[in-house]
Parts: sequence; structure tokens; C-alpha cells
Amino acid sequence: MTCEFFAEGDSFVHRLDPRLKLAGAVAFSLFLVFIQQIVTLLLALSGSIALAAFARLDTQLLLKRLSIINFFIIFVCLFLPWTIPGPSIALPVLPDPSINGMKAALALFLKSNAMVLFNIDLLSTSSVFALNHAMAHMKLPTKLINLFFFSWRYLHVLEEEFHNMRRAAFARGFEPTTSFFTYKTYANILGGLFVRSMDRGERVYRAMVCRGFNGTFPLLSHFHLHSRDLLAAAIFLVFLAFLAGMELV
Amino acid sequence: MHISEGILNPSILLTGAVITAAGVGVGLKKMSERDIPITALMTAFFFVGSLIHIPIGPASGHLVLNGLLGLVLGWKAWPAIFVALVLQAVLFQFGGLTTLGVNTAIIAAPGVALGLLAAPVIRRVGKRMKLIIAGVVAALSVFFSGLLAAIILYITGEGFEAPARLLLLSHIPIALIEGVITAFICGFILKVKPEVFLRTAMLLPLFLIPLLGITPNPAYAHRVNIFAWVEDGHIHGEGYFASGKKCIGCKVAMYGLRGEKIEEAVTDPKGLFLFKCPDGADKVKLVLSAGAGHRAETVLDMGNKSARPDSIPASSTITNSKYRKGCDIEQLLDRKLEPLLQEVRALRKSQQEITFQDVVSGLGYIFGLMGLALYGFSKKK
Repeated sequence: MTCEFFAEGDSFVHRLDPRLKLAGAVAFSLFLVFIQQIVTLLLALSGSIALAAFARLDTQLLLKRLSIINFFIIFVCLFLPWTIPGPSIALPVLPDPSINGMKAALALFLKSNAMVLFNIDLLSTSSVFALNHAMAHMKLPTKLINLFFFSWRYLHVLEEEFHNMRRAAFARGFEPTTSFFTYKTYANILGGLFVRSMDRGERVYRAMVCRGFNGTFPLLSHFHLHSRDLLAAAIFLVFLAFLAGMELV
Repeated sequence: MHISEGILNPSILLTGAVITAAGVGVGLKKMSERDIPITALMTAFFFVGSLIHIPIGPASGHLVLNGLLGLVLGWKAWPAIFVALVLQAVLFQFGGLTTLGVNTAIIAAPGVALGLLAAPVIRRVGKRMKLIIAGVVAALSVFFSGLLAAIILYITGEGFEAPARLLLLSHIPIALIEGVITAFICGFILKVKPEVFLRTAMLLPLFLIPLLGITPNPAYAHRVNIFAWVEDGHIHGEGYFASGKKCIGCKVAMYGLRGEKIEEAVTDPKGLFLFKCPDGADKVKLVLSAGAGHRAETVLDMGNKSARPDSIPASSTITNSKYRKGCDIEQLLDRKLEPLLQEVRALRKSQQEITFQDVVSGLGYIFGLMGLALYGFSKKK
């Protein structure tokens, strides 16, 4: 299974220091939480789109991912024009939507898409391993970092094992329907997965202890800040300042 | 159950982040080096569980597995779920960075609380009870997660009530399926590796019980009623909470038929407010807002004022020739009954909201149906 849809690539964005990317993604998301005005949000979204173009991400794949994420957002947006009170405009068939509600729905749509796209631009263009390494530099608890590393490692193992078991079930003519038999089959597959996970965890731990694991992973490669990283950080900060200015004016 | 980015306001996000930081902190403290591989495998298990689509009638849902994680890992489920959500946010952009705290709390809190409560019990009971308890814990965990998500959407502001209600409703079938599947999973584990349930020797954190009691209350507290009537060319009215407390200093806005705002007023210390009747308006809408999420509205029929006398003296006798006609008595009754009708309308409206009773009955349904299903299944064997 590959989940790192956008991690491969060789653009300016891909080569940035993962520590900066992690910090930038968090800062941008937190910043946008406070933004209310539609014009500012529109500019923020265009910034995200520009960065995506700059990173030369696969447009089709990007749109596919965004459409999945937008499912919930659009679901909420559809309600807002009729549930927020205020002056409304007349429509021929539907009940009249309120202007405030439509503004709120538009702001919500722009805001969440700007955040999500920016996170794809920055976080998904690094490998998860690089992000884990960057987290270690952010002084997060060692146990959490190790947990993250192991989880990422096991994700693929379990996913593969699950697909093998599922394939085996389908090969024997299993067809998922709304029935207790289906639920029981899935439960048995998951139960098998669970038991194997437990055993594997135990085995791996013993093997690691045998090899002298003391709770930390020694790092062989280190990050270095290049001039391009500083340039990107400067541009990012100017962009944030510009957005803040726009919001306040 | 994931709340997307961009919806919630900073104070809710911060609250969620603080709760999650505390939960993850406790979880990490309880996790020794030895536990890391197993916790990580459970994280991966949780992640894979969310990828499995289980058919439910024409639609399909995915497993949450927060109840099972809470049962097996106890407090360690907090960091496990947190890491899984970070991975989902980074890989699939589900959830997102700013909502990590809120989403982790929504999913982990019910699972861990119920898991810790049930873990000491589940070790002592017989096999069939083990399955039933595991199933009920899983179903309730999912239901409470849905409830928390709905409450958070509900207090986010006006306009999110309808999505919140739908979110809660959609979690009832998911909770049922989750309960059945978790019971089956536990049945499988008991056959193959029964010591799993012995390993989770956890302390019973009694202080979590009151927490569970509090969760449904915000939905209940949000009921606020408005009650208005026309008299002497003025609109009188009052606002009060479901508990009977008056709304003091709350904004009341009067809207025309087309939604344009006509006037605004603030309730006095007795919860009363007063408007002058607007000229030429047949109906007005009064909207009372008492802080985030507390909102009530009512539509008031002004009647054709020119056709009716401005005031009917209550003490004047009906024998008075002026009021002998039937239609006048009807008018009089209409006027006198209007406040009552308003009250009935307000009651009917408040019944449509998610109330404490709805929550309790939802839980009852889950308990009952789960119990029946599991009992039937354990008998068949």
C-alpha cells in the first residue's frame, strides 16, 4: 500500500527542510482559524493553489483527494443558508436563503479548502519518515515519536495482511451484504489481524531488546537549513503578514 | 465523526487540544518502552479498521474500534488514537491539523472511559457476558463519540443544528454494527488468545463517571424559549431557559416577513422585552439569542389592527351590547388564548431538538437491541 501520494517529486517544495514544512503547515492552519473575511480567505486559497502548482503536484490526483474531503464540508455548507437568520433573497422554488448564511457557507468552504490544500502542499510532499524525524527536532516526547514511527511501519504490514485475508475470503466466494454472516466474517478477519498484531508486537520487542534497543533511535542523517529554506520562510512570513493586514483593514 | 478543518472556532479547538494533551500525556506516562510495539500495532489496527467498509443496508460505514482500543489499551488508547489521526491527517487529509485535538478527544474519551470502566468487570465474568460487555462498550463508545461531535457542532453556532442532528442519527446504526462486530472479534480472540483480556489490569478511575454524566447536558441546557403577545399596540414578550431561569440582558431581534431586521431590544432583569408594533406588518418574527447556540424564535401574527379595537378591557362585561355578537367573543377568545398558543408552539419547537431524553432513549435502544442480538447469537452456538 502506498499512502504517500505526493511525496515523490523533485520540486522546490519537495526539497525544503521538513522541519520548516511542519512548522509552516501548523502555523498556516492556526492562522486561518482566526480569519473571517471572504476576500482574505480567497487570497489564502489562491496562495495554496499557487504553492500546489509550484510543487508540480498531479492535478487529477489532487482534485480527487480534495473532492473526498469536501464531502463533509459541502454537506454542512448546504444547510447554512437556510439555518442562519437574516435578510434573505427570493428564490422561485426553494425557501429563501439568507445572505448571511450564504456568506458563512462560502467562508467555510474557502477556509477549509485553503487549509487542506496547504497541508497537502507542505506535509504530503515529505515522506512520513522525514516528518517523524522533523517531529523529533520539535522536542516532542520520545515515546510519542517512537510510537509514531512504529505505527507507520506496522500500518503497511497490517494493511497487507488484511488484504491477503480479505482476498482469501473473496476467493472462497464471500460477498459482503447486510447480514450477520458478513459482520462475523469481517470480525474474524479483524480478530485474526488483532491476534497476529499482538504476537508480532511481542516478537519484535524481544528481537529489539536482543539487539540492544534502549528506547531511542540513533539518527544517521541530519537536516541542514539552506538558503532556499530561509527564502521560503521569508516569503511565507510576508504572505502571512499580508493576509493579516488584509483581514484587519 | 471527524470534524473537518475550518468549521470550529478557536476556543473549542483550544479546549479540545488541552484535553487531548492531557489524555496523551497520561497515556504516555502509563506506556513503558515495552508497550510501544503493541500500542503501535493497535494504532495500525485502528487505522486499518477505518479503511474497512461494512455494508449497512444501501449505505456503508467504517469501523471506529475506539471501544476495543479502550478495552485493550486503557489510557494508552489516547496516544494510539492521536497518532492514528495524525497519520490520517498527513496521508489522507482527513480531519486536519487544527482539529487534531478535538477529534482525538471525541474518539478517544468515550472509548477510554468505557474501556477502563469495563476492563475490571470483563475479566471476572463468564464467556458470554464478556462478549456482551465488549459489544455494549463498543456500541456506546461510538454513540458517545457521535454525540460529542454533534454537541460540538451544536455549540459552534447557529446554523449547525441540522447537521449536528443528522450526525447523531447516522451514528446509531454505525454504533449497533460496531457493537456486533466487536463482540464477534472478542469471541474470536477468546478462542485463539484469551490472555489478552487478562493483561489489561487497569485501575478503575472513578472520577470518569461524573464526566460521562456531564456530556449529554449541554444539549439539554441549550433549550431557550421565547413567548410573545400583542397588547395595546405593543409587542410584549419574555425569554426563559428550559430550567425556568429568565434570560437577562439577551438580544431580541424583530424581523419582517422578508427577513429584514426591523428593531432590536434587550431583555430586562425579569427577562421581559417590549417592542412597538411596526406599521403595516402582518406578521413578524422574533429571534432571541442568548449567547452561543442558545437561540429561540417565534412568529407572531399581528392581526389586522385597524379592524380590531386596540384594547379590550378585560373587566368589561360581555353583556355589554358592543360585545354581544359571536364574532366579538371569538376575537376576545383569540386574544386571550394567543399567549397559550404561543406556549404550545414553543413547546412543540423545543421537542424537535436533541434533548436529554433523546440521548437516553438512544442509549436504551442501543443497549436493548445489542443485548437481544448478542443473546440470540450466543444461544445459537
